[in-house]
Amino acid sequence: MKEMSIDSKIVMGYIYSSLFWGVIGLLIGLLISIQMWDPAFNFGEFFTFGRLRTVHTNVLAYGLGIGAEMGVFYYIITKLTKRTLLFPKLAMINLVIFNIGILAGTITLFMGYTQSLEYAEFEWPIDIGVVIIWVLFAINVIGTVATRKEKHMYVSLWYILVTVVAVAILYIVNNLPIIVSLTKSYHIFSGLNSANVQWWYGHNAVGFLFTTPILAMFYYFLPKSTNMPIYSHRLSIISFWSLVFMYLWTGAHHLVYSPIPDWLQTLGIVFTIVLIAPSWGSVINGYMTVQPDWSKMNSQYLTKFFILGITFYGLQTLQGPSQGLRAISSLIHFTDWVPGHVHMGTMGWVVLVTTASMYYIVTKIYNTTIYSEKLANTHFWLVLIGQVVFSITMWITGIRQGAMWKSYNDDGTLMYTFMETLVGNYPYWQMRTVAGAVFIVGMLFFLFTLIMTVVKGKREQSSK
Amino acid sequence: MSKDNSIYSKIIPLVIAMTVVVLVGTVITMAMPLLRDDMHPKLASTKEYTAIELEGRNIYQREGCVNCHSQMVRPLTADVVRYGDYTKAGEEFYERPFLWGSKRTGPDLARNGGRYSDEWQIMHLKEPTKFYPKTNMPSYAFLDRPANAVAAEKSMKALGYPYTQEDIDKVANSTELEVLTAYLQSLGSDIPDNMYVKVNPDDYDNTMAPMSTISPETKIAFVDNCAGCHGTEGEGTDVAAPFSDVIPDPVIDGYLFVSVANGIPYTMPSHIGIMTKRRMWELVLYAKELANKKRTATTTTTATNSDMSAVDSSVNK
Repeated sequence: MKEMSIDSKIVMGYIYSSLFWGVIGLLIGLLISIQMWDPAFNFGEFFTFGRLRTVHTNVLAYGLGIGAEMGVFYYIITKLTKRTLLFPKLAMINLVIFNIGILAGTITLFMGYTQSLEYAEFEWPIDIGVVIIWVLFAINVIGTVATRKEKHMYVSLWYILVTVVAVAILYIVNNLPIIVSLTKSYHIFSGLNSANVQWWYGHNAVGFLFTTPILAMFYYFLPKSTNMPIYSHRLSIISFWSLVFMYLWTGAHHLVYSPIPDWLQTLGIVFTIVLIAPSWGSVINGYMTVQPDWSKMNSQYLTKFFILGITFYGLQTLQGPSQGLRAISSLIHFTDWVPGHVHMGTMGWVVLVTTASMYYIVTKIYNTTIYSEKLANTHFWLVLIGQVVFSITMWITGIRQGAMWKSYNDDGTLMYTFMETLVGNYPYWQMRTVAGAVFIVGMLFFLFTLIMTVVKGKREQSSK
Repeated sequence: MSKDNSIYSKIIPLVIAMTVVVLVGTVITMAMPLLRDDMHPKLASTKEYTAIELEGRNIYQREGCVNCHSQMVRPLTADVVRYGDYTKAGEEFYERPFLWGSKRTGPDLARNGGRYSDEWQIMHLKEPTKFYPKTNMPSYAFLDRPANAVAAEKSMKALGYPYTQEDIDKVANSTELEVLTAYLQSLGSDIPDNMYVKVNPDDYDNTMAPMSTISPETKIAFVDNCAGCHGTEGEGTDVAAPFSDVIPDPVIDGYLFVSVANGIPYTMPSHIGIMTKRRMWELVLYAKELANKKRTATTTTTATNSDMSAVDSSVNK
């Protein structure tokens, strides 16, 4: 039996770790979705919605998201550079630090230690840990790519490199603290700048944690799993540079109608609209790659994950810019429309592409085939249906409540009290819980199929 | 990897190029604004938080209130009518971090200060369903414990805000509920008049005053908006005395109407934005009816509040 390489062990370690945090984050998501329509599901100090919502987003963004991305990136890098990782032991140590960091971060969020900055809630000691983890990761990534055996650098590597660079800048700047104690700090920026820096960070955290890394996976695994070359390298180059240039200008679209200066809001909105072009550059590149043979959607089980994934990316990058427009923002800002939008991106685009990439990696590492295509397809359909229903219920109720907030009586007074607009959400929130449960069942199918594929691969190797 | 001069085969120039490209938008939209005057204006009335308010804000942060409550009234009619004057840039000077939020699962709190009494705030935090049976807000009864004066003092020091030992003692002698309430009562107080639309007490619209019918919708509105404090039959609760005690007999209807419309600072929220005038008039009528019912039932006479005589009787023509 062939001994597994250290690189493969590292990749699998990150994948297992991300699955663990994924399950925790999803279950907390399910609980808080119930709390939205029944406050009796808040249990004492540590399990109230206010704290758990933060645990949910951070465990999934960092524990599942970053964990999966680091593992998948290490895999892609070793393949595209045609060499082993430069510092494999460092990557292993980093995996341990990463898990200690996420565990500590999660516990502190349960305790209520938070900076109150969305996706940057971790207090400063955890932030230091995050920076250390990221620097160690960057050393390995840049070092391995710099000493690569393959001269040409494929577009996935650029997306990985820009992720490394941008996340470092974003995370460090927005987390600059005025330190009070080990468990408490204040944002170094105040008022309008606090808001502006946070949403420069917040929007680009989405850009460089949920867009560029997933595009790196997409550009690598779509051609690999379909055995079809990417449609246009030129298009991928243009899309890459324009995407990473424009993303950084758009943060202020989160602050439409806020007290920040109008020019800043408008600049953010304009770049948000223009950002549609590079986003759709990748969407078109994806579609055209499969264009020569659409039967792959049927014959190759992973193709549909990537194509549906890029479709949700395409929808996401149309819906997002539309939300930045003042007329639309005035209706849907502060409503459930926005979480509906976020969940289409994460549950549609990120999850479909990441889970398909993991299927591909595991079958390659264990030199086997998928345990059951049928189960993988079940996973696909449950996750797809769960996500679509989830998002649609949020959009409906977002528009519904947004419209009720600004309905007037004949004499110009408001037609509805806040409570009247709130209780109308409950049926939709209940549907969302059901849809979320369907999604989680789909993810459990994924977990089972992936682990059984590992078991199958091990069995086949030991019998050789 | 050498003779190819393409940037895509040289990692150092490539990473530098990426960094530069990422920094352009960063510098223009994030870094440059840090240096601009229009990004940190301050109203003359905007002051540092007191120790008790800051510790209340710490608790507000800790409990993730910002995940459900925005603190940013947009310059849109519907926002202003519901919540009060829109948020001014100059009010934000001491906000570290800003707490505008991104989701209104609960109502905006930017102008919450003075809308309710302290007692109401505390009871509502402890048991929100008592006032709004259908609310999804969790109970914060666990905050009924001593506040952390040491943390408050450290926070004040770190931010360099002025305080006295007395201020710190005030925190030490309060519960977390009281400290949080102090913060909630401070919100929006930089703007003197926190309700954008008001009924002028001397000039209210009394065209509907001589009403005699109370619609079923008004009775529902009473249950939803008034009963939490006044009781379903106007019998009173822990935060409000019975109607039969507070509504004099006879009463000037216009006085009650103005109270319902504008609210009473630190006692009762205003309703002018969220109800038609007709609805408010019907509520006045209904409240009087409930008060009289109680009086007849108990056959006790209630002393007339002498303050009532101060109201110009001409308002009820």
